[in-house]
Formats: sequence, C-alpha cells, structure tokens
Amino acid sequence: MAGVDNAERAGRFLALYSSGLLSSGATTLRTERNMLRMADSFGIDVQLTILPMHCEVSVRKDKGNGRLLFSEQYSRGINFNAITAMSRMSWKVADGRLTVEQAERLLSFVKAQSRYPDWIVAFAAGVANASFCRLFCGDLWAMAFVFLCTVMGFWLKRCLIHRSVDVRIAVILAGMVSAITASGCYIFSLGATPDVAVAASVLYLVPGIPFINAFSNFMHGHYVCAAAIFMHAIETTACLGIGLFCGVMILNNL
Amino acid sequence: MLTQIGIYQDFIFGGLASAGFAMIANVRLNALPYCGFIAAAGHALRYQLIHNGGDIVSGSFCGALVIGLLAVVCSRMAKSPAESLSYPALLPMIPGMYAYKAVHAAIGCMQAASQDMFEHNLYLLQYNSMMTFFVISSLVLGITLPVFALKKMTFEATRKNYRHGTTTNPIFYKNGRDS
Repeated sequence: MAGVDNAERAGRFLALYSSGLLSSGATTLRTERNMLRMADSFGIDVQLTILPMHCEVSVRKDKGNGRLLFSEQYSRGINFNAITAMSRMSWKVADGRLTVEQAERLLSFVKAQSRYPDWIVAFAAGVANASFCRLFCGDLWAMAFVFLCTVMGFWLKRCLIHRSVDVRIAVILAGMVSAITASGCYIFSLGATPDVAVAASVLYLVPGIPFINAFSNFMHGHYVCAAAIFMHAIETTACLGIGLFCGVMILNNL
Repeated sequence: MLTQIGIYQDFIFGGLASAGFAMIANVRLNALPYCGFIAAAGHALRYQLIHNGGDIVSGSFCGALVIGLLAVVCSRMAKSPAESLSYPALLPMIPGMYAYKAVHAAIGCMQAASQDMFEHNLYLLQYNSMMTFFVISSLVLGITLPVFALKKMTFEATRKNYRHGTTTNPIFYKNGRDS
C-alpha cells in the first residue's frame, strides 16, 4: 500500500465490507475483528463506528490526514453463506493473498451470489416448523397442518417482499394466512392438539437470529446497535402476533 | 408440555428443526449436517435437564454451552464461522412461544373488559416477557462463553492452512486483536 489514494480506496472497501457483513447478520464482534485484521494487512489505521443503518470508517495512513467513509447497510435477510465467504476473504487479505482490487471484485461476487431456491427454502421451513410443532407435543395432524400453513405463509411472505411490500405488512399477512390455515385442525376436528398447531403456525416468523445478535452485541458493548436490532426483532414479533390475532378474529366472526 | 415425547424424538426433531431453519438463513450445504447434530445434542441435553428437576433457564444455558463448544470444534471441519453453526442450532431453543404469548397478553390488556382481566393479562405479559428475556440471555451467554474461552480457534476457523496454536505472521496479533 502506498499513497493516500490507496488508503482511501482500502477504506472504502473496508466500509463496504463491514456494511455487507452486518447486513448479512454478522455480530459486531466478528465485523470488527475481520475488518481490523484486513486494515493491519493494508497498513492503515482505521476506526469503525457501527450505527443501526450504516457504518462509518475513518482511515488514516502514516499519521497523515484522515478520511471518513460511509457505507449504508442494506436489508436482504440473514445470509450465513455470505458471512462465511467474507470471513474467508478477510483471512486471504490478512495473509497477503489478495490485493484491495481483488478483494473488491470478490466482495461484489459474494454479494451477488444467489441463495437457495425459494421452493426448497419454503419446504425446509415447513419441515422445520412441523418439527418444532412436535417438540411442543403436537400430533401428526397438527404437524401436517403446521407444515402446510408454514409453506403457504412463507411463500406469501417471499412473494410480497419480492413485490416491494413493506416487510411488516408481509409478516402480518403471512402470520394471518398461517393461523387461518392451521385452524383447519379445529374446523375439521382433526387430531387432539389443534391449539398447538395454531400456536406453532407462526413460530417460523419469530426473528430468532436478530434476538441472539441483539444480546450478543449488548454483551460486547455495542449498546446502540443492540438496542436497534432488539427493537426491530420486537417489532417483527408484534407483527406476527397481530397477524395471528387477526386470523383468529376472522375465524371467530365467520 | 414436553412430557409426551421422549429424548430420542427430541433429539431427532430438534436437529430437523435446526437444519430447516438453517436453510432459511442460507447456511452452506456442507454445514447443515453439523447444525442438525449440534442442535440435536444441545436440545436433548436441555430435555434431560428439564426432566430431571432443572428449570428452563438453566437447562437452556447448559444446552447452549454444549452447542457453543461443539460449534467451535466443528467450525474448522465445516470451514465456516462458529456462528453459522451455533445460531441456527440455537433457534429451536428460542422461546418463541413465550414471545408470542407476551404479545398475545399485550393485546389482551388492550381488550380487557374489566380490571381483573386487565391484571391477569398484565401478569401474563410480565411473566412471558421475563421468561423470554432470561431464556434468550442464558442462550447467548451459553454460546458466548466458548467463544471467549477458545477465541483463537473460533476466529481462525475460516483461515486456509490453519493449524491450531500456530501463526504465520505476527502482524495479525498486533494490539491483541486476534490473540
């Protein structure tokens, strides 16, 4: 690394990297460590400020003038595949096997990588939630209805988000559809645990990883970030509660 | 609630739930079996503890501790960060039912027709919120302790040609960032 221009470019890359990692659901601890080890390798001094919606990276080389670079966080859901790829990238940079230019290209490639197909994820979500229902002692009928309602609700949520509908409205509607579908156990008098089916029908919408991230960030002293993620998780939980409530109210008034 | 299923079913369905939720979080395909196994082990331990006189908070803590340890150990084999194994493995233990009941009780408070109903729903809101808070806290504490104890192993899992206890370049240990 030589010259302020390169330091600025490296800083811009680090800002994009940090926001990418945080947007994928990484903890602030991992983001800081990965970024600082790359900064060491680039030979620059950096300070990272993580805020709820964006990252600030201040860069300085050889006690020269500092630059402040921003990068916005984006919302594309939790993506551990991206976190794994970015962590590997950070070690490649730290071990001197990637230049800034190569790292920039690799970062763009990682961000553009596709996820599992929607139908596979919907099926997996259905199996997971049906298993969850069994853990709460639901019988086979309850599990079957929970599988069905999860696939339907998950698919609806994905479709609405793809059509740029607000994610909170998507969660409310998905929760409502799931609750109404799971109520089939009550309506057709199938199985002995219809109450478990209804309660478990919306659990796939509980934002488990944001809850864990919020507490993890709190334990590492990133209180602002922790509070923001926690509030977001509470908001999503409230939305699914509203969806479930609306579904039950609709059925009660039929 | 858990008395009707045995530990084997708890093991199997805990693992299945984790692997399914891991796919939603886009965990790499080669890491999914690790997620399933780690979750199954943690969930079965929690089941045993709860059915032998333990409470859900201490049971969750012990289950999460095992998940955290196994995730750190397996992260090298799966070539993935420990969180990508431990977080999906924790999801079946997230107290979603308590969180849901807390929201339900809050709605009940708003709709209460009498003071008794309001106080009953307020009690449910407080109880379920506290349980959600304590269980999640114990889960996070449980998976964080192994990360602190085995910091180097945790953060070098994705490094190529990594051998535990060695380092190729001391620059990475500057300021104690990776020590």
